[in-house]
Amino acid sequence: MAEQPAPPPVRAERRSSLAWRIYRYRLAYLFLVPGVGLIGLFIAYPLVDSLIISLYKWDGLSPREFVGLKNFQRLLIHEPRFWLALRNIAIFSGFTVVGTIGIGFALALAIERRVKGWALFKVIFFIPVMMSATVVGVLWSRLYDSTFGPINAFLHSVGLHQLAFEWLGDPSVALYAIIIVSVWQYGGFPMIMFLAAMENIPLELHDAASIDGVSGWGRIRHIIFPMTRQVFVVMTMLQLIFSFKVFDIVWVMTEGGPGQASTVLGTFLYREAFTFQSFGSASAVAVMMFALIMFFSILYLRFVRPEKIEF
Amino acid sequence: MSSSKHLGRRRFIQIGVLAGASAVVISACGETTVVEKTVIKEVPVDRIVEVIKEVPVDVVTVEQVIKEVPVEIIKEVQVAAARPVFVELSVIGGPEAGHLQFEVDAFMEANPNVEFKVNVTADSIAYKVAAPQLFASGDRPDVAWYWVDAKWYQNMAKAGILENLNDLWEREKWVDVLPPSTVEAYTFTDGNYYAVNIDVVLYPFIYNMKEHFDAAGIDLPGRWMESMEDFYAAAEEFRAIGLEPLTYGGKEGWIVGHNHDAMLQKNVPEAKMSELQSNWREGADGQQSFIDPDVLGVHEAMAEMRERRVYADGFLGRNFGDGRGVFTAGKAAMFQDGSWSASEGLLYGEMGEGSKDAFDWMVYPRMRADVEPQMLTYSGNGLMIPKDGLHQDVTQEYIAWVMSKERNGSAAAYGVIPSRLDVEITDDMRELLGPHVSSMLDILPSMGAAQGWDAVVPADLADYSMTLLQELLAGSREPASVGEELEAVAERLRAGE
Repeated sequence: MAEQPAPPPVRAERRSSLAWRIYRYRLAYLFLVPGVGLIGLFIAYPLVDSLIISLYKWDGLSPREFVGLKNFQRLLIHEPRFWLALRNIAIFSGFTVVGTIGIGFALALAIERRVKGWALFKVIFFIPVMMSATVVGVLWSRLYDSTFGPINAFLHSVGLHQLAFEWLGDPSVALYAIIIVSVWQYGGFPMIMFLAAMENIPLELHDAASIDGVSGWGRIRHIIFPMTRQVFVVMTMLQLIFSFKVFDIVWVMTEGGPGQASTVLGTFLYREAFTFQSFGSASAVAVMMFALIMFFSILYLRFVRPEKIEF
Repeated sequence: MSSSKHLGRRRFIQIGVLAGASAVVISACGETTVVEKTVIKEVPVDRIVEVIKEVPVDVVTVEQVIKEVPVEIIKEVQVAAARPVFVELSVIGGPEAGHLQFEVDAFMEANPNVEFKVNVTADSIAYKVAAPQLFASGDRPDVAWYWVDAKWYQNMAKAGILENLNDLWEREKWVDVLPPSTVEAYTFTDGNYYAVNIDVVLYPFIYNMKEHFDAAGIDLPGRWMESMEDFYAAAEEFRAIGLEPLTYGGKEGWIVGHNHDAMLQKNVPEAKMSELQSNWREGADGQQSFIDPDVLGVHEAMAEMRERRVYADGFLGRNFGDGRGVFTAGKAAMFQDGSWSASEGLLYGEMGEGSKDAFDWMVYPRMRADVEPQMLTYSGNGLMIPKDGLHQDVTQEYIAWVMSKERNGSAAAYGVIPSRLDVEITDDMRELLGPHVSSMLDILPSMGAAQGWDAVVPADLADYSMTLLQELLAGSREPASVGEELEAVAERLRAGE
């Protein structure tokens, strides 16, 4: 038999440089360009510009005047309202996260049990999530009105006069009144996430638990919670970020009042920019908000490491 | 355009001559009153061709055009051939929008080739903060209404985003027909005019529901109660019969500011008040300060009003409309607002039939024997032209139209007072203004009017004061610290920071 000709020598692969990789996968990178471009234009650029503006004194109309870190210094040292806003947002975020996660989990548990009308409840509890925050704010402002609102009318009618607060007019109550609305509106989102996670729990686990005579609470503690722990982590992170950035609902309901009692970082930033025409200061607030959210996110993920459960 | 390719030389000359002659004829007619004037724009050739059929074809010279063609036809050609001019006007909702829309309609009728688009922003706060950025942007309106006071307007003029209206002021001789204080307020620090005041409002008043005063057994006061104690006593009586005493939308800082301004006028002598209005200027000596006992007295009085429950429950959580709603729904005996409220757009319209007789008005109570209670005037309702706006010949003519003696009085129909001193308030205008504003105007000469403090100080002071006052009324700030905080801001402004 004739010898097969020797195969041609294999060309040595070129060293994979970045340029070569880009060239090799050029089509893929080409498809990425629009997305990256949009992110760059609408997210990265404003972020960087905001950082730059925070180093300037600027009224939004005249040329900018470089002041370095003076805006940060003023906010941190000479502006008690900034610290008030920080305190309020910590309270708001804390209660909102616990409230929405807790209520979302509880609702998901109830719906997962397939109580009568579960499909309807799933929709009803999710409807507020789909509503605009402005609409929700206006709606609840009417409900909370101390003279005309149905909440106080009901409380008076059943003799609970001491609970008929000036919900949005009392500085000691206003922030918590807004928290209630926020939990009402956003509790449905974690509910859906938890529900999806619960429905993915293998049935065998539940069957085994039933055989072993595990109680309802035991089932939650030893099966459902561990199996949905990753959802807890993600939802907590998301709710923390969303609540930290809150502006619309607070502004619509109280504009940060009465007397700054419900001011949060978002409303404080808005006032700095558009009431006092201090865009540099407002940008400094935005930069600090970003830094805080980043810090807490990293801290949270570092200390809360969700484990996978394997069976 | 394609037809011009087929124009012969003769025809081309005819069209050119007609266009030139038209311009000559119209300009030779001299200045006319605004009602008759037509805004002349460049006449495109193809449009002229469309309407030229009535012109004799053998007209070739300007002299022949002037001789042969009646002026009326030339004017018709101009009007028909002129491209329509689109102008955008921005304004807040309420009486100002009504007033300016009325004038827009009349102006367009007199100038058929001009079309206005009036952009009304119902939320005055949103307009206040967004408009300066809008005026500086590519989407700026061609003419705009805005508050001319010591806040955003000053920054806009300083940043050079408003057109200089000196020529218009000079041509229309507004210096001679507006109050000196208005002329001064509208003269920017560089000596130029960038806006003009179109109407005036008086504020703040306390509107009294007559039936509630009857029910509480309180005689309707004259134009003010003689003391704050009388005021507190009345509030107690109203509470005793289940009514809220005084309502307004405390969520909106400017309304709280009006409360403050009114009481400042009642407790701070005029000379001191004048100092307070200028003690923030760079280099001022700061002799008159916000920690003065007279100023402190005002803050203490507002705190006492809170403690004595003069204000309606929950008022700090209500906006402008909701605060008024408590009054119109019959749940409050008194309501604080300006002269604009006593109009069809607000109280009369909301309360319906019989409303004009249902309530009366007064100013805040006398606070000390040596200071006479007065009304406050606000002349900051101004029209201006954002820089490099389009069709400035049209927009300037519109402003001149609104400010003309013949037209300025139309403001009365919208519950606001004409700005010109030479506009006589006729019986018809009184009918339009309504009984409350008419009586305010009647009493104005004897009662007198002052300028509100927060209308003439910069935002650093004015808007900050509103925040401080809301905290005071919420009980989270002591009266003394309001003045201290304001004085700290004034010191920074004096130092040029």
